[in-house]
Amino acid sequence: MLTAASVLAGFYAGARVKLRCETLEQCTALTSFFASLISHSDESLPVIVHRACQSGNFNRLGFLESVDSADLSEGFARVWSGCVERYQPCLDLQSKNLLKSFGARLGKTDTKGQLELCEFCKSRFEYSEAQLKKKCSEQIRLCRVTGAAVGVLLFVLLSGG
Amino acid sequence: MNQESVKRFDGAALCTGKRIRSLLLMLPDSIKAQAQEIRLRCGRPVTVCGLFGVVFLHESGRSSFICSDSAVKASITDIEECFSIVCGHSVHTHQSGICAGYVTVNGGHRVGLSGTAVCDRGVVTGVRDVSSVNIRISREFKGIADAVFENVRVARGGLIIAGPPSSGKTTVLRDLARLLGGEEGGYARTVIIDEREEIAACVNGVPGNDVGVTCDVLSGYPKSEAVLIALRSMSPENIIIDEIGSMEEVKAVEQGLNSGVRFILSIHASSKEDFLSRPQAIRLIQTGAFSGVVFLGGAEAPSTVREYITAGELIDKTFRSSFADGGIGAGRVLCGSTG
Repeated sequence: MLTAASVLAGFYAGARVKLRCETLEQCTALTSFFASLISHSDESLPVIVHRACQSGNFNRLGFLESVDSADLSEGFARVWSGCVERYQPCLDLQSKNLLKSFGARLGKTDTKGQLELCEFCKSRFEYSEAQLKKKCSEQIRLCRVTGAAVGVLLFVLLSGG
Repeated sequence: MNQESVKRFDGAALCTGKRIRSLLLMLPDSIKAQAQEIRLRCGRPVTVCGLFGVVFLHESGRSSFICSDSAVKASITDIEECFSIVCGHSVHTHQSGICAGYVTVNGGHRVGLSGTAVCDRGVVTGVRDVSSVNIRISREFKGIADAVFENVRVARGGLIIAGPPSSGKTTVLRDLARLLGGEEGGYARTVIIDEREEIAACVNGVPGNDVGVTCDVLSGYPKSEAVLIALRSMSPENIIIDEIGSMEEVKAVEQGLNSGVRFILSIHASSKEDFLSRPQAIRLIQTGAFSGVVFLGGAEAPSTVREYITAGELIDKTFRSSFADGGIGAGRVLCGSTG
């Protein structure tokens, strides 16, 4: 049972890393989504957020639905930041701050400025995603092997004892 | 007390941030019903302007006609918050409006913006450091255009409505649209060219104001292009346009006149003399397609008809003044013929 628990723990850690990779991938896609709608239509941010929720391509970004249903009277940036903090726990601190600052700058400048912001954030997310993917496969393997090894060791110790 | 008027004020107050909004909503209904503008100026007291004069707000919820040290001042944060709400948190969506100096919000309220211009080769391409916000409260006054409607109903030609700023030109046009597109107007096919989205104030395609059953609305279209679009696609009997300004817009109207459609326009002019000094106004009158001009009272008596002058009278005045000036006209011809 202990062995199984250790192996499961290893797999769980691996799954979390994979989840973070997918979340970063969707963050990158989100910046492209915003850039596309800002450049091709005159739609406002609340409408773009609603479309993002409806598209079904951002299932890992749970904060979007909270932003979509929130009262924006406190300001879009504040609502976005609060929702990222509350509903996006799987991101690391650096990525979370990047996502928050993306939301803070959205809707503040003209179209050209918005597209530059989207491009900048997209490149940062892509970089983080690439770094994480590089470590991802190694970490997943490491976690699984470590989990299995610990499980075997425990089995040996317990059966020996 | 007109509860609809009070609701309109409350709707306009939603454009402001939380702090200012809560104080505005606490104003007495008597002030709200007659308020025309809510003005926020950076670092200076918030004011509500109307027929009663100017009212200043206080933190306690009190309002007064005297500006004192305890009057609530609009901070940079208040202005930024208001600007963000007015733009729907999306400056890029309202870029062209911001450069033109105004944004129209839900309810048809026009929000004027002033700040520091960002120019490129003499053209305003953006605005930064917004310092003043002027929320002009849009109101519907059913029946306000009854007197003007009589001129429209009787005459076959079009009508020009002239008045200074805040004289109620848009309010009168809105009510005229309602009358023309309703039973009184025989359910005439009417198109409103609503470039600034103030007349019908459409939200998701649904007019926020009562503009009659048989009115079609072209929201946000530039006036010069919208006339031809309306003629080609909506087969109107009447076309209503607010604030004809440029010669380009006048030329578009002239093109439309050939189709036999009746035009009802508004134009800025504080008096007969001011009207006659505008080349656009002269050109419109000289088309012969307008039966007359209604001059409205000023901001102290908005939407009230001060005077109605027939086109013939105005053309006569134009002729006489060009003759008196020795300009191109009868004077020179007479001299030529005797010489």
